[in-house]
Amino acid sequence: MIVRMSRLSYRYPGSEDWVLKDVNFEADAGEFVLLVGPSGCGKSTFARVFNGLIPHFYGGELVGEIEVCGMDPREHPTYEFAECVGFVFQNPENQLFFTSVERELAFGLENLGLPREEISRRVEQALREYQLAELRDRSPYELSGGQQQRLAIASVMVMQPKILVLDEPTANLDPFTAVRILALVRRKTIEEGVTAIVIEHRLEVALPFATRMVVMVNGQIVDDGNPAEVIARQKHVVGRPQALELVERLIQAGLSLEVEKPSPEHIALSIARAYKVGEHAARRKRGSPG
Amino acid sequence: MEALRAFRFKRENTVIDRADPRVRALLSVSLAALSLYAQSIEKQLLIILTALAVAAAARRLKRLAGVIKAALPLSAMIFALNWLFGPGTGLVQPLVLALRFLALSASLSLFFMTTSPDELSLLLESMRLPREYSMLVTMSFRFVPTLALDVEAVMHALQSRGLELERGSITRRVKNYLYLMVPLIVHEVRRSLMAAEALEARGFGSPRKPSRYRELRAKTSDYLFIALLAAYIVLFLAL
Repeated sequence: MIVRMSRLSYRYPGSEDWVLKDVNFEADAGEFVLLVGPSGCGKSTFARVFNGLIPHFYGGELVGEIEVCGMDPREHPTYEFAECVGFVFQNPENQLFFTSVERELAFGLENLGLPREEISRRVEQALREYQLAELRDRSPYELSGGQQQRLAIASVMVMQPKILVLDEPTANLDPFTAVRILALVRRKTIEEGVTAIVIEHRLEVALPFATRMVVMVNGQIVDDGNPAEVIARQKHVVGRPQALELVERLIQAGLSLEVEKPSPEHIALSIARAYKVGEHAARRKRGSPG
Repeated sequence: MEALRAFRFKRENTVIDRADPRVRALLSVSLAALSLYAQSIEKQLLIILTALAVAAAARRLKRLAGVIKAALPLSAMIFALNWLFGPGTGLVQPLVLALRFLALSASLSLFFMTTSPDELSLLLESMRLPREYSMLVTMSFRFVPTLALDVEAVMHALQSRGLELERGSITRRVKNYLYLMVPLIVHEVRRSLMAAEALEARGFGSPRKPSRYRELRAKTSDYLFIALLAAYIVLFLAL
């Protein structure tokens, strides 16, 4: 387990109330964890524990047993987590500091103190991988929102973290770009075994990629597990995507559907499959008496 | 707003842009120093002409001419004050002082016009300034366009609620701008906190010595540039 937290509680400095209450959470390599919950439920606060921004940047009181990449965030400052935990914030503009894409990618690596050849190799690789090569001399304000967020992710991923925390990474993006960004994250979890913790409100955008869903309410984790099952149990909290409603009605109407994942794409596929199977059976039925 | 837009640096591909920023800094400082040393009208004019010639080579003649034009009223004031209240009686001394002001503004803006914020921070780092300071320079340039957008957003929000910023008496207008400043300052403080968070998340502030991806390296052409500059200074002093 790369992340292990048990009985974690936290309160901001000067506050009597605990924002996170008795949270138990574990995550393994390669997981894509979708963290959802109503606004103000403590998702972003929870995410900031992963790299020690809480308690080092925000202060306050953090209790419980916590281990991220083998380190306790209370004992190790945030810059020590930089190598292991990549953090992408909601607004890409606030996390891009340089006037060229290339320098932006190199920044984190410079902070790690890597030799120039290694920095150069990784920067070139990231430019190719994240389709930023043509933009290498551009300034962040000359990039579109999607390109900025792609750069923000690339500049974090270039440090090769084992855990990637994304705090509403697609809030400023259109649905199509949002899907492309999350697909990129999913690829990293499959190919490199990165653990992704993604806070996202738009279920239809994130569900195709999530392997696990965690629901947080009032600073507590109220559900955790397979996305389809979690949605079925927590639809009063997370809402129910219309595609899933369709599945329910079709099943009620007698169609046998096996939905692998609760995303519109998977559901469409399983309906097509069920339809084909039904057609095949009907044809056999018609053919057999003659 | 227009003033903020001026901060957007535009890269060009000219001999001057390709030169090492240290050489450009040397050029600007030398011209400024010569202007402080020279005591004749002709020499001051020569420096202004040199700055204009370099700007022309960097395809920024129009911008430098604009800077000189903007400095003219202040220069005229320097002339008038020195002529009326100065120690001498002639016109030469006040005119030299007025022209010196123009020469200084032209030679120093020449540097800032041709040097990108990234180059500026590399220059500062090559002068062994700690990284915090060079980051300060880079980030202030980087966030100017963002600030301009924020100003616009707050202005539009105020206007859409019926506030007309540019109308009424002077006191009214000053008060209107207070409405603009308060949300803007709050917004920028929050933005800077978010940026600080993001900096830390990427390993900034580590006691480990950061390595450098780009470092300034002088090329042969840069030495040629310095030789030319030295020749110019010798000729100028010999005149």
